[in-house]
Amino acid sequence: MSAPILFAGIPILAALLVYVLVRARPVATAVAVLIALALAVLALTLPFGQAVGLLGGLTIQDTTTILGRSFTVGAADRLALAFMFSQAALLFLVSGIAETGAAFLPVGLGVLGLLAAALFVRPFLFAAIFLELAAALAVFMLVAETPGQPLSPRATRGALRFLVYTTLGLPFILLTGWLLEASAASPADTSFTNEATVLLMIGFAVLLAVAPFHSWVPAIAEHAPPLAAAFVFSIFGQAVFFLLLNFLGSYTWLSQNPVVYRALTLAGGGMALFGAVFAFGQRNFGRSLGYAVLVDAGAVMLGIGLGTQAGLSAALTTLALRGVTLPLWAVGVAHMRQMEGGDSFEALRGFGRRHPLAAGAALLGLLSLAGFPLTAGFPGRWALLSLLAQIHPSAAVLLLLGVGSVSFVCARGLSSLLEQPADAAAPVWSFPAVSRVTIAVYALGVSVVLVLGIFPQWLLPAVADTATALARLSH
Amino acid sequence: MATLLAPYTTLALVALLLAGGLLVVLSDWRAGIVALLVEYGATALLLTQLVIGEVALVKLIAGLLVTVIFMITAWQLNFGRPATPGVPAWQMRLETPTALPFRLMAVIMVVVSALYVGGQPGLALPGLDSGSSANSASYLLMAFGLLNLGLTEEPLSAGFGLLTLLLGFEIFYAAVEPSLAVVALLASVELSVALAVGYLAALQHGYARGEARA
Repeated sequence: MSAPILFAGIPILAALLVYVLVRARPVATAVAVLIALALAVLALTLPFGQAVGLLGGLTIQDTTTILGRSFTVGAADRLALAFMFSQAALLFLVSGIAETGAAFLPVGLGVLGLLAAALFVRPFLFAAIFLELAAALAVFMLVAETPGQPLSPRATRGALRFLVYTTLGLPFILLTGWLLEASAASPADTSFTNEATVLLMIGFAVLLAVAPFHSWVPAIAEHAPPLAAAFVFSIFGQAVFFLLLNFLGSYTWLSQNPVVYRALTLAGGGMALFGAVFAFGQRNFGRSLGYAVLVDAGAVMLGIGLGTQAGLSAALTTLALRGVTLPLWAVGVAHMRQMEGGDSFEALRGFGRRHPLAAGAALLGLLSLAGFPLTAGFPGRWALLSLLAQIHPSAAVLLLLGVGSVSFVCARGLSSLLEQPADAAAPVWSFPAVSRVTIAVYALGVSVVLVLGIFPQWLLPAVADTATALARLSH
Repeated sequence: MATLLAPYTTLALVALLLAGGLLVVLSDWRAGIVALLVEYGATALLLTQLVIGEVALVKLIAGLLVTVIFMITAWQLNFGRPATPGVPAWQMRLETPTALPFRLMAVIMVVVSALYVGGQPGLALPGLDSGSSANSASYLLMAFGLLNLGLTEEPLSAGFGLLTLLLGFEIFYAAVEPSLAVVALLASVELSVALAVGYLAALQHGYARGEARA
């Protein structure tokens, strides 16, 4: 038995099982959550190359070869897997109380398997193919027909753009492999590595939705089912960032090239500014989140662009907390859309007084993604701002602008949500009957976001371990 | 095999030029599916000059599967046309877009640019000779693919563009990375793109047809 088959194969097989069980929704949800959780735990604890008593003395190898390509689970991959699987488990769990497409659970598991394969494949360049396969599969959960609601003619736009941009990124990364082979044949000639650097930077710019390749992000946030959008923004985005870190860790010519870090800082600052400018005018919870995701991705790039372990830790904290925050936003917005038929501020006037749980969750999720104080997103944002203020003060200002702009949109949304009913006889506040499970999930989400905002040290050691493992790779 | 098919490479290039141009100029799905099949056939023929025959065969099989996926999708959606009693959809007149002159001009500009760039010694793609049919075909297909993607947001037409772009890339990537495993993985990418695009088209046009019936 090999670890790559375990972590990539089991989710894909489980996807088939969950697809069969999809009519028995609670069972399918439980299976998906348990599998994702079990794989997260195994990623952290399973010893490689020695007999495992719990598995009947089975030995798990860290490498396997399929069709001449090697798949290896490295130390940094284990932590990346743990992040991805645990965040997926959280999203699968909340899918039990929110309206999402029937494809969400099976496709989510399948995408997880393909993303795991992308992290394992060596050389890393072929990861682009697995990312593309994952993107093509993700399309099936990004457009869903809601019973009783017509499908918007623009509903397919975000998914199509996501597929197109991921496909556009593929050639750039694949071509790098040829340049590296050419470079190995003539090591004295640095032109090959320079060209490879440029191609990789373009490829990652496309995959990471750096403007002008960003249009799929707000489109998905606006039209896709919120949980599917959260899955793509957190887990797919995380896989691409881990892949970038794997590249930086594995190729010295890349990690020791200052131009790479300058480019990351420039792209990150640009994304923070871009997100800030476009978020400012939004009057819709979906698109607002799309631009907040751009600001957040910019923050991660700025952290990596610092080229220090502290910067990397801040970037990873941001990434990890994005996965905690987005499910809360998603479940709140899913309820908004289900009850009001949309998530525009106009359509949601007074919604917060009628459905305070859903309104609070969506708002808190968005605020946390922006990095607002006392929310889970704040520790990462604060750490990054502190570091940037010393090295790149202008980038810190741009990031602060992003935080301010998204927070301003949240304030505008809040004012709309809390608008008093026009009918004076209507009650000012009402609490609709919701199931205990729903209340428990909301309470869990809100508690996690607030508690991690106040006690970030509970999560930070795991993040620091990942940063150390990744930093060790690069030296 | 390579020697046998060598005289037909120029013909394959011309077929690619016409098929790629047709994909941009006409928005009719029937023409698009035929054009895509021609592109795959011509690309497989060009690949026989660069790599072993098995790789070209994989490409051709992938192309056949992709066009079958598109054909089934289009058939189910009445080829994107409103239903007309007594007239089967595949017998309807060809549909031309309103911006036909603009599209024609764009095709001419793309063809001239791609052929010029493909003929420049300093701009030969990795693994290909400048001025060779494969080099020009690769540039042509990538340019047509990008042009098509820029002109449409309709899922099936965008799928034609996306696959044309991938085909152009694969011509020269096959020359630098000819392993059968990579070719098979890229073929799986094409199939998954075709399935995803078919799904999006089915949702978009299925909804539109449902609205029309209502």
